[in-house]
Amino acid sequence: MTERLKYLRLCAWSGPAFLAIFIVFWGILGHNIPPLPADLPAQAIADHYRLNANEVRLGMGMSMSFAVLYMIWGLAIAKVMQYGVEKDNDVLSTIELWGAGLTVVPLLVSSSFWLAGAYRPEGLDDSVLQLFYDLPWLLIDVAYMVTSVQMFALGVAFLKDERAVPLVPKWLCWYGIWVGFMFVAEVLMPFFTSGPFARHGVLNFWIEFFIWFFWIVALSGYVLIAIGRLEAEARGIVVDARAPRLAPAGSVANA
Amino acid sequence: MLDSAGGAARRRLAGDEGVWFFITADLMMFAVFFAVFMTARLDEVALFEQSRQRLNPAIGLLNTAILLSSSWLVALAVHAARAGRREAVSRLLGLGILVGSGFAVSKACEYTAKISAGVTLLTNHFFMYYFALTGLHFVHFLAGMAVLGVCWRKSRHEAIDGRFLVWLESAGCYWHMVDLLWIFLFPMLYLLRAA
Amino acid sequence: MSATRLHPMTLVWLALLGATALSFALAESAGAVRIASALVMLIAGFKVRLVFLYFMELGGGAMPWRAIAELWVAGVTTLIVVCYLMATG
Repeated sequence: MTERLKYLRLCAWSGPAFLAIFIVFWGILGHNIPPLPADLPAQAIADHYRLNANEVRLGMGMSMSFAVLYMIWGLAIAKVMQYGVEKDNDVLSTIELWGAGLTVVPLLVSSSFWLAGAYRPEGLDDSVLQLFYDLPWLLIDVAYMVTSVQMFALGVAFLKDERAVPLVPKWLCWYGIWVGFMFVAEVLMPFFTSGPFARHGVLNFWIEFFIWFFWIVALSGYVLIAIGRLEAEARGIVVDARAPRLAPAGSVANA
Repeated sequence: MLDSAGGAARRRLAGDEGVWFFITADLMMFAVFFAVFMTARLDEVALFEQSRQRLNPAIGLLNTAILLSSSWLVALAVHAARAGRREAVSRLLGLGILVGSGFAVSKACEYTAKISAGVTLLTNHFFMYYFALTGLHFVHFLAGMAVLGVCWRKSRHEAIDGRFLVWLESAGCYWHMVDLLWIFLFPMLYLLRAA
Repeated sequence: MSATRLHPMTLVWLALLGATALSFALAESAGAVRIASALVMLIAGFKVRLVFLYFMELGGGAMPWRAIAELWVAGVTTLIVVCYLMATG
């Protein structure tokens, strides 16, 4: 019965791997952590691309290569949801997987725009290069909802876990739901080039990105532990006194 | 002095711990917003004062009264649920939602009036914060109306048991948070006069 | 909820409405603007604390949430009042 859990650990490790690659290549080499301020003149953005072209090319090349890891991580979560907490209904794990998979799209496409800015910056006008820095930021920020639905779906599913010690702790479920909810503030980002709501602002960059990063790390840890617990359960080792779980009729489930 | 109708002192947390975690995270986020607003105000006191005077404090006052009253009705519903009084729970929750929806109406009027007067979040820094903070608060308000709606439905169709009570207490605490955030937002945006 | 005695939650609600009316009167009052405005924020902090303790039922002392709420109210009120008093203009 542990056959179906095969490969899942590797998939779960894709999350932290994705994050590490994303921070180093997209963030640091790609000059996106911290973002160039949105109120910089076009010439400053153009100079950035002309000066750091190779760093950005490498950063975005790696970012595009490994963005798909986020989907693979999402699959590990979906499987743990299916085998661990869902009964005869896989709607939430399906939404979770699609959310993770679709999160890859803005990551990939926006990285390709930053890459385009670094491709031949000496031959392009400053304002065009500025566009190639603005466009990907608008995409990666305002596409937040694909990630939010992932957070909502898995949060709700794991909240229904009735083990005495749930696979994913309730605080983390709620934390994820909160992060997904807070992402709504990204809708404000296109209105500003300075202040806390601008792409480099306290809220829309420093808070929004780092609460997401923390969620990836914490959730990966619990998913890895959960895989071990599901293996133990499959071997008949009842870790939890209350397992197997029965769904009480008309439970909290049907919200 | 103000013990619950049941009498016994309750050390138990009302609602689900996870929801309290959510509430805490939200409170911290709004604390950051308040800090950002108040420090931005330091740089442009005159502009903030002049912009503040264009707000209508009477609408803010009305909104405070609406949220306080809706919170009160929901708190009464929680107490009624503990006493197992289904009819009262439904009625109080329904009233709480009805009164609370007044907030949406008055906020819509306020936003419309501002926007038709040409005041938007791009007008100046004060109005950027005014629209962003009240807008984010409004999103919280809408989520609160939705969860209260779920509780109201449950109160009509499902057993008034321990499970329902946790739902109702959690939704209630969230709703009170929406209320208390407004209790700070209202004086901070509408009433702080520059001397 | 007997007809003759007010429900505790109703008392809290009345106190909150009263504090709101008081702070609004202070905000509209002439003279001593700085003190009046600072008082308005202190009253807001007091109202928020009432909501935490009675509506949200932290008055029983459920930890750590009670401590978080108390620190939050104290911190936010102080922050707003101090920033307000620091402003000159």
